[in-house]
Amino acid sequence: MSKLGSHISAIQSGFKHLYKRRMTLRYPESKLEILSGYRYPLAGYKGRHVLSMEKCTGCSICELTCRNIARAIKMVRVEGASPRNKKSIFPQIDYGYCVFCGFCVDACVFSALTMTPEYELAAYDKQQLIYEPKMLAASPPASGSARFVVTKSAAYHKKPKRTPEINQA
Amino acid sequence: MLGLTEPLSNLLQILVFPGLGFALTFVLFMVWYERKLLAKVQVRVGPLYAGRFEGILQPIADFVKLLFKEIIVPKQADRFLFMLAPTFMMALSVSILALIPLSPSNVIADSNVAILVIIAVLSLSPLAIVVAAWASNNKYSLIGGLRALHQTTSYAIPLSLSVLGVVLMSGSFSLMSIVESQRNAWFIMLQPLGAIVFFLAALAELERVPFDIPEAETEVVMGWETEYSGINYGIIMTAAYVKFYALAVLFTELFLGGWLGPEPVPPALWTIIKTFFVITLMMIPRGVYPRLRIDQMLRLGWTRLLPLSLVNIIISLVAVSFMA
Repeated sequence: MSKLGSHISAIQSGFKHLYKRRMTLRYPESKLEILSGYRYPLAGYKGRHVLSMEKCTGCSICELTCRNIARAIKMVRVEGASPRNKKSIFPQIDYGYCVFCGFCVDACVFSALTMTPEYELAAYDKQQLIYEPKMLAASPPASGSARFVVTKSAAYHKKPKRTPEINQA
Repeated sequence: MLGLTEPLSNLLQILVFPGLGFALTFVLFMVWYERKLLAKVQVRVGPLYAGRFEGILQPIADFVKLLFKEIIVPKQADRFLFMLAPTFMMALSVSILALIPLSPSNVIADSNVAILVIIAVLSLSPLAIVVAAWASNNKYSLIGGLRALHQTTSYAIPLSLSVLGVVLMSGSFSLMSIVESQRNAWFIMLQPLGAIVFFLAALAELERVPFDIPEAETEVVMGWETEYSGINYGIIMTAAYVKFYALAVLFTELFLGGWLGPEPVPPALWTIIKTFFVITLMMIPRGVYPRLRIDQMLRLGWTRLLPLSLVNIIISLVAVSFMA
């Protein structure tokens, strides 16, 4: 009789899962909300860099820091008057080399370099991975808004109605 | 019906409603439904992108894909039998449909010995499988084919014996009169044993989980279907699903009162609704159970289901003699 009971409970568990919420994240359509606070309370993220052309003075400390790690940063000239940056040189980052250690962000005295939650950096070409200062200055696209929720009975991705703007430090 | 001449309306019935066209459409739906249901049981999402609603056109996409794939015939295979076997299988499955009415007005052929013929056709299917297995000239095919032979022949006996109880109670081999004799009580209430035996034997006959020993992919690749590719494989799958549909309708009509139901819903729809329920019940084990071993399967068939179906016959004999 206990055998029959175990069969019934097996079938029952099958039926029980029919109406459970899926925890699958339908990736290209909805993206995960990226939570900050891994290493940087200020910036909070470890994705692509964003460069503030107003704050950058062209001191090259980020390049010096990167030289011992990934050699991803190279200072390049950008035409146009910039009052703080007399030499008018700005970091250019090659994401083919970058290891996202964030030391350049640590080293930046003027908080000109910060990191964003943008992680979809795949490209068809090596050249496309080299981000020039102008490209780095562009603000990243809005991050995903699906939030992972764990309840007593199920775990699922909850999608808030309003997509919040990402905070840039 | 419909004011058409007799042969034309017969042809319509064979090709469109209770017959082939409806069955194949239903089979397409069943494939989607099974994938979706199993996905739900296993906390997945299942087909999603083909079609507007939850990937409902996925089976059609798969079918088109199979149509475009190359049909590969192994060098050592018996080419004629190899190509013949899927057609043979499809013919066997479809011929069951002719004898299963969906409602009193949707009948292709009502015979006095309908159930006997259906059982006879069902017991021919191991032959088709063995032909396919042998013609493939592949060790996995052959092993799978012999497993299928063991399984289908040993489960055909409890299957037919469990039907016998119903036949004794209704006093007829014709499905029409069997359904009509369930007006007072469905046979699942009168002989639950027979219903359980029929259900399990049908699962085994269809080679569905937990009885999918012939096509156990962890052991014998894909069993007797190993060498089939392209549309040949598609035909084999369709034949299996048509058989699945036919046996589900048969279960509905033998034990669940067929088209009997409250009035506003048309009788054919009642059959389909009940069939849908039976199909769901037959699919759920696939998401829940592991595969039986071959000796467990045989032991279940010969030492549990066979005595149970005999007990069921005795009970129904006693009941019939008391009623008489």
